[in-house]
Amino acid sequence: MSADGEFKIVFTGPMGAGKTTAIATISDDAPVSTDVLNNDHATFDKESTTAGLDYGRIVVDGEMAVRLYGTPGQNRFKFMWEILSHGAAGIIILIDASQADAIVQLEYFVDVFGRGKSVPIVVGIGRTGQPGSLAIDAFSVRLENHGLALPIFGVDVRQRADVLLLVDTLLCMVEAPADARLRA
Amino acid sequence: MRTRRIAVVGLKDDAAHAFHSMLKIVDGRAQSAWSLSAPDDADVLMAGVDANEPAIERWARTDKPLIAVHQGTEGRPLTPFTLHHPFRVMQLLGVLDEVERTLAATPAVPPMSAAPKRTDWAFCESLRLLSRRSACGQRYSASAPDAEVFVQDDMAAYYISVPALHRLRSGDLHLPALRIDSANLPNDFVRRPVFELAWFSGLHEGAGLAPWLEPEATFHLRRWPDFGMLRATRQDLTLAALLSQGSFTRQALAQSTGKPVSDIDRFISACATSGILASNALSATLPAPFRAPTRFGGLIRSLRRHLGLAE
Repeated sequence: MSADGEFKIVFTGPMGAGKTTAIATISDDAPVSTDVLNNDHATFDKESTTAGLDYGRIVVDGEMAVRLYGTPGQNRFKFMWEILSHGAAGIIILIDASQADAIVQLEYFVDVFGRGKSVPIVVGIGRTGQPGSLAIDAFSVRLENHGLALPIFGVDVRQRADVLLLVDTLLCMVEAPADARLRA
Repeated sequence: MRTRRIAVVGLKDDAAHAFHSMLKIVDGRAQSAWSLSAPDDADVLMAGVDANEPAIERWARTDKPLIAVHQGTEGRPLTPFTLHHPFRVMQLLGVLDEVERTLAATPAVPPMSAAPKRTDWAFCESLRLLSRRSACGQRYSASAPDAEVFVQDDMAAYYISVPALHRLRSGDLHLPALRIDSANLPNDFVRRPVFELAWFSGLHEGAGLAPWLEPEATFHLRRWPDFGMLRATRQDLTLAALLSQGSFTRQALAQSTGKPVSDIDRFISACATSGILASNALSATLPAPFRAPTRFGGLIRSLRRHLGLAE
């Protein structure tokens, strides 16, 4: 929870990993997005991409709100990452296993969002069933090579149950005693 | 400092050379001194998972530690101690120190064949034994009324019918020990990751803790299971969150989570059968009471209720 009492969960990961979809899946209202036309079809072939942030909200007990922020995936918008992740209760990293550099992307996002912090991180790997996709084990082995044992789950962020699994895992890690938090 | 003997079989040349070089670097930094020996004299065996070596077969019938070395994108072995080639010195050091702690905690290791057998854990025991053997292209099977599973000896996958898979996941499928089987696979069987078979058979196989685990030990997770595939309960997530960063006894976990020890035992047994559990009888780090921080404990409860996650 940030100093101003905000409880926020940040969804991050490379372009096309499903951050906007994941937030839309569990947000009370349609998320606010700052999409622009995608002019980087070489990286991921889709019509639009997030330039500033995605924002969703879950109102509980009629007054308190859990804020869901999605970062832009492209490195050129990296300046937003620090701003959005400041004071986050937890980070959910989404990775597309079918992308050729998926493992490198995972290492990169774990490093950027986890280095020197004790914020809980959960990783969702999508499109694991597609031909040429890496197995979940390949991702966890790579992180273990860096001494990290993060929760890494195969998910389909279009499925509400899968997004809820990521969120619930994050909440369990937030609830864990402070000395049992993951340190990246 | 105690000296341990380690034997190496079935590693490819580059991996073997790297290991020999690293062993010299590790000398003086590890918790014990390590010397190379023949497999028959060794305390620990380091073996390539795809090597078909008689020494590995003999080793599989003991309870001595095995460090399985795998590479590429092939599935990770179910054995507790693994290294992914190419590995770094610090990873080797970490595994050797973990092996040393295990050896120090269990000074007298009886051979597997001499240990008393419990029939309710026969399937898990046979799966565990198979995971320590080298692959030679054989297939194993286990049959129960109206259900059968096949396991490749490379542990890359198992095969099962969809109805039997539902029974396995729900705890309604109890299998005898695996046996070699040359029969063809039925057409309607699906290919599944063997981790799933290990997890659910460990979770549901028998009452109490898996017989090869020390009840008074402390436990921690080497890595998280893929709960996306296994579909975790809240209890699974809570225990995994604790055990991923701390080392706890069964009683401490039960006290912390408010769950019965029998539930803790099932989770720990599933982790052990799947090769993701580490145990240590030497240290006893008790967890702090499992309570959400008061500032947002209420918010988390409300959020779960709102999302339909409350249990």
